Amino acid sequence: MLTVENVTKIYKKSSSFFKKEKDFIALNNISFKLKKDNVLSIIGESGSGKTTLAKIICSLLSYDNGKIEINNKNILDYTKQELSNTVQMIFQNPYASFNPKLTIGYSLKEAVDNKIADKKNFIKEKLALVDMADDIFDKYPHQFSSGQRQRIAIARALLKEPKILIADEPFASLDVINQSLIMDIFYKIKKEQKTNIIFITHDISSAFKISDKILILQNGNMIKYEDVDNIRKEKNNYYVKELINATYLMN
Amino acid sequence: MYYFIKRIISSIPILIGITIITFFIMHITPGKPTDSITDMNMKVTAEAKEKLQQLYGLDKPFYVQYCDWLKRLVVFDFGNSFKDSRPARDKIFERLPATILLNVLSLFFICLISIPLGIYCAIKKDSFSDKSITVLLFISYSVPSFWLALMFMILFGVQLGWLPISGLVSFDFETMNIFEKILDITKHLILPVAVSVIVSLASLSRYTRSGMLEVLKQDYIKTAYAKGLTKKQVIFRHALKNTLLPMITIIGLSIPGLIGGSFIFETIFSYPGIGRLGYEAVMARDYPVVMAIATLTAILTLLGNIIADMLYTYADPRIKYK
Repeated sequence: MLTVENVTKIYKKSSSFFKKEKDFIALNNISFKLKKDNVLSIIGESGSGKTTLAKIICSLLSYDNGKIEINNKNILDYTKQELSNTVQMIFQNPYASFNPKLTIGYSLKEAVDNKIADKKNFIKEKLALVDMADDIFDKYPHQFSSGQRQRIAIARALLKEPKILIADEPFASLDVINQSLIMDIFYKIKKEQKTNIIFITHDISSAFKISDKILILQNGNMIKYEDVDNIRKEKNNYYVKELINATYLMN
Repeated sequence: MYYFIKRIISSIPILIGITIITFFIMHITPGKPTDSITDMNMKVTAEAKEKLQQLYGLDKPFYVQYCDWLKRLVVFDFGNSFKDSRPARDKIFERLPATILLNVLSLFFICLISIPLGIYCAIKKDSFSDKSITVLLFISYSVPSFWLALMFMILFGVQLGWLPISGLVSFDFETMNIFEKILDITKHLILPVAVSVIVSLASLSRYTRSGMLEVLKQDYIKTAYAKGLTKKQVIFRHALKNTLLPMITIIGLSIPGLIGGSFIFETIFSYPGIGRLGYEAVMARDYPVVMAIATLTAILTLLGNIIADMLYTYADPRIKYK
């Protein structure tokens, strides 16, 4: 389904005569595979390169080395439209991911493929999937709660019926009740939509619940890439143990 | 609506404060309005000078003069000019069309050029064209307007003889047909409008550039790209409206400039507008005309702010005033 091979991303720092700065390696030789109908969680602390990796897979960022293939086709060979029908991303802050000046109806309609005749009904179907009523078309993003906005953001991503859905820390700005609501929605998507999910989080406990495989990043390097059960039993890696302990301590 | 009525009412004390300060500064400035009539005439006695001051009410204490002026202002009477005894209000209204024409045209061209320029620079950030435009804009911003006006007058008016260098119409304007009249006014407007546009381009285009760069970083722009929209669709549907919101304040605050006019431009180009009227009134210590122009500009500044706030509610659905 998705193959990532030796991907490296370097942020070039602008140097001047007076100030020399070293380039920053955000991702260093990252390789993994996402199989069909699988959920992969990418875990790591802030600044480990999780979001950078997600944006690269969506082609929102370029990369310096390596190869990324979806269904044996390099993502660089996809047209923008093809790629947006294949990969979709849900951003960390649901409020910032909607244009504040446009109604939700407009933002959602824009994401629907022109080939679909009854756009409104199609949107209603996807809204029902995330337990949202269909009377929201004329409202603006600021008129919803964070949880509602995140659900609409998920519906927005599903409008493209993508093969891969990347959720970048979807619980970050939510309370516990909304976190469990959103988690249920992801279970539903996994079962009903047959969508492969890449779940980005720093919370290892939520990754354990939903994932088949887990990839752990630290400072742009891949620390572990294993089945979820193997990670759960991990005793030797200090960083993995730290992540597990920190999460249980918080919970 | 209730909010805006409240805003208008709360602007009245501010307006009165502005008029008190202007009135005070005008009166402590050396020289009296009667000086221009009496100083050059050796035959004028001290007694005659006093009588003249009494005639204009200048012998009364400052606060009495101000209260008299304020009473007249309530019925929109700005008093008569000390220079030719004509009502200050009439003098302003006959100059108003020329000033509005010049400044509306300038503002139109400033927006027309600087907003697309700012957007272009933001999209092409750090490219050669962005850097070149930035340098040119800073040069245009740094050049003193009066110097540029004089250079343009020498080049296009004197050396090349392409354009008239002063006034709004030619001497034989009355004998022209309608098309010749339009052409004549257009020719007279080119130089003042061009100078005004060149020196004002930088600020609006830099605001647009930085606003656009800020908007382009937002997640909803990334979402728009993720939806599969083209760059053009993302810029025009999503980025532009959000970028232009702060421009409302800048354009709203330029409303007083539309009427108040520019003292420097109008004086250099001998343009028959309010700016030149104001300059002449200050030089002649023509208190009623100076106060009329200052009050009008203050009203328009306050109104410009309120109008900008009103436009915000239309442009941004998140903003609601109570």
